[in-house]
Amino acid sequence: MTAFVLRRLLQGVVTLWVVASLTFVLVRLTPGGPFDGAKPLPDAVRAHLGRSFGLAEAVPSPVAGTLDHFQVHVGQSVSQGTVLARLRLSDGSESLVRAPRDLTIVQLVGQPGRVLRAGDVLLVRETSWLQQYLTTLTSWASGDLGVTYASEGSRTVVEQLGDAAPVSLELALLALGLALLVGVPLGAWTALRPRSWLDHVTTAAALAVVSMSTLVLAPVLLVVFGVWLQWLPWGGWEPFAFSWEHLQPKILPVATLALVYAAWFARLTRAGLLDVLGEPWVRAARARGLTERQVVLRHALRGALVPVVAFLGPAVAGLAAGSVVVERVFAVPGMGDVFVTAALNRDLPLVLGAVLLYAAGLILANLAVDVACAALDPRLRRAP
Amino acid sequence: MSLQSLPTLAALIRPGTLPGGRPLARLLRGPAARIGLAVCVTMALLAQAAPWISAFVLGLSPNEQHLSASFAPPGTRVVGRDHPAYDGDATAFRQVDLDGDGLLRCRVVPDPTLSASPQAARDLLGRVLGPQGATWSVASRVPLQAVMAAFAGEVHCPELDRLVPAERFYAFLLDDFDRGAGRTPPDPAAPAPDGALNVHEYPNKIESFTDPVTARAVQDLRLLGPAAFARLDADGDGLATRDEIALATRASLFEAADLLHRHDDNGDLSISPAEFPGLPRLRTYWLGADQKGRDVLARLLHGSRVSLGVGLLAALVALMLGVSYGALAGIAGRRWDGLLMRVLDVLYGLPFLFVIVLLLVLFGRSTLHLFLALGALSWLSMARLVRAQVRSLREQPFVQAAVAAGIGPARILWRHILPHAWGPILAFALLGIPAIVLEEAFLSYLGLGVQSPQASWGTLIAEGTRVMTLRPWLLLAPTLALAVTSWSWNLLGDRLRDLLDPKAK
Repeated sequence: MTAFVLRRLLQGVVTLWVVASLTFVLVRLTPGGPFDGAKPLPDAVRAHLGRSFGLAEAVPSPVAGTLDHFQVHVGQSVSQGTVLARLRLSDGSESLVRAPRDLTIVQLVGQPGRVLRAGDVLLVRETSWLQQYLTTLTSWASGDLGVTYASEGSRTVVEQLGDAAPVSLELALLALGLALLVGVPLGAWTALRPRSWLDHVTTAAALAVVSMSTLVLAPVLLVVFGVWLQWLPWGGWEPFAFSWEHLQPKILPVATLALVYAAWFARLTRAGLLDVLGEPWVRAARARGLTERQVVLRHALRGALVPVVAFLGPAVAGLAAGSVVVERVFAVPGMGDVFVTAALNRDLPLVLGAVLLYAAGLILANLAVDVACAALDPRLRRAP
Repeated sequence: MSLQSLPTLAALIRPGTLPGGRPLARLLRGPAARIGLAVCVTMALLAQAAPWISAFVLGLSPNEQHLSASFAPPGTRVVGRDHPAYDGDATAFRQVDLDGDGLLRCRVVPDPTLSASPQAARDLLGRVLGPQGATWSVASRVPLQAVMAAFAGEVHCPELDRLVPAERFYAFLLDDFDRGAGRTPPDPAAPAPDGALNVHEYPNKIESFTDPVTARAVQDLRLLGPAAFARLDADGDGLATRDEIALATRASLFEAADLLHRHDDNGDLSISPAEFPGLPRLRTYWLGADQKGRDVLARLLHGSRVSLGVGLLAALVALMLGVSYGALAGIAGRRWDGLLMRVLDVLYGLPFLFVIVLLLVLFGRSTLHLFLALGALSWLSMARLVRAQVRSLREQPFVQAAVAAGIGPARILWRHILPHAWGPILAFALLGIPAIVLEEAFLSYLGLGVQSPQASWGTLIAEGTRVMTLRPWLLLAPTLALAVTSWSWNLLGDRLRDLLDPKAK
């Protein structure tokens, strides 16, 4: 079991690395450069971007002196040894700054007449893809995801996501819990009474709900229960506060998100239990003289739950997507809301940070699901 | 991760082909599958026919805006006056053309204060046209009215101007003359109106009108007497109802100046039958209209083209990617197969929907990018299915025989293995379509998919959500369409899965 968990953990790390690399490649492949948006970026943001993505590197001045003039221009590719700039030293002589290696110039720093100390930035050169890749991944790994465009560089992505993530996490956990609490017993109950009218009604309703998706349910439920009947308030979300007045506005979003997955769990539990009840080991349990209750709860349900638990992986992915819709409809200040606003504003660092965070969360959830599956069914512990 | 990630579809991944017998007949056993198929086919046909329906049945194109219909509830009948589309009604032109010379003539009445000073006219022209005045041409049309007035004075169109009092005549027809008589002659003592005129109630004398302008227009346009009533009574039941009067009103809904400056193409200050745009048509908004006065039904139908089209194309992309990758893994040796499957496992862990959003942010939002990205999202399970099919078929005696006969692997795959695997593969691809449609709706809802003014179900739901409290029909129509499509597809899919799953039953 330990080996299994370790193997899956390693796989998770590899997946996260793939996501990060893929994200990096996508950002670099963008036509016209990823930061050439419709509006020019503030200098603070641009400086941070240049650093954290390793897009460019400074070429320092080797000696102290006054800048006389540059002999190159922005965008020029020069080979090693080409004269970049002419400096006037304090003793009146002149010094030529030569290119330390082949490089492409991104930016010239300062006007002629600027006084430089040794080591001051003279110009900025383009870095290679490999360098950019290493710089980017190092800064991501150290938890530096950059600053958001919207705040003009005064707020980091980590701060912004740190505010929103707990809200989404709570929403997803509550919805998942509710879906399991409703779906599994309902599925089990109908499986024990196959072809009764209750079974038919539940099966048909579950199929209808599964087809609807959160996108349909969220606005419709809001209109019906929030606006027409005015049973439940919505809007405003106090993270992890469970007093009645704080809980009230949470009911509608959580129920909306949970409904689709409750239907899935009911369908899966019903199918799984029907499957399992015909197995020889269930017959064996009955032959041992166990009561029907013991047979179902202790023996059959354990086997029947494997597909349900296995579905938790895709369910978490679906919950993440569904919570985006729910958060937009019910004005819940969570990650989905932040993510979509950032995507619409092309706030790239924030979008990247959110994608990486979602990926990490999903990988962790999948890991937990696989471990739970293996605990339920020892056959799954073998190496695939 | 193994096969469990798609448990409801896991059955499909087990090897097996469509059971023998007539597959379609077996598929359609039972009412659920029949309903599912019927709804799916209807939706597809409606989507295919959307341009014809909007041209010939609704008379409204999806982006046609009629301010008079803004937020009209379902079933509203409105005469759109913003975009009069030619309705081929030649009698309308003759009715307006009072002197019968085949032209609706306008003339310019000189304004002495302006024409006296050329400099004043030039100043006015400069003010009307702005600094880009030099580039003005007849084609831009909009300032024609102003320019004519600037040079010479007012534009008068007596024939077209008649239509305004005529409109007033129709507008007050019921209020003024309805005495609630049904089909019988009116009783002077009977008070309550019944919402319809009979031929006795209908005015036939010019003395009925106190306003001389209206009286003149009514007389000129021959709107009095039994003949005019017969024209008004479209269904010939002896009663002119409010709807029938509205239908006639369309002839008078033009503002003369508006008509002239929009449709006088050759600038001769008159409208010929060729230039005549027809009359504003009375149109029914079966599912209501949105804020801009666009027909919800037309937009829904055109949206279904986008939604279902993206679903089909993305399913095709997924099919091609998945079959190539899965077949490669299935036919390859153990080592390569293991490597390809590990790659697939890693990709399965990606938050794909979010990566798609990232793609759309980086590469711009376009429908092409959208379906490529959605196809790339859904090929993973397809690749697993194809691999499992190929691996199991590979062990079958007839494939072994082909191997023994010295046939190359590519030919074995294409001629001997895949023909037996197409059934489940295609079924799986079809089952994937509603998921893709939902994903497209999700992205469009968030504003990251199809861009306005193009409609898809997702953008329609987003528009409906904005006004859902007061105008729920804008939300109801697209959500219902999406839910019903997805539901019918799932009905069909459930049945298909039962058929393909050898373990069931």
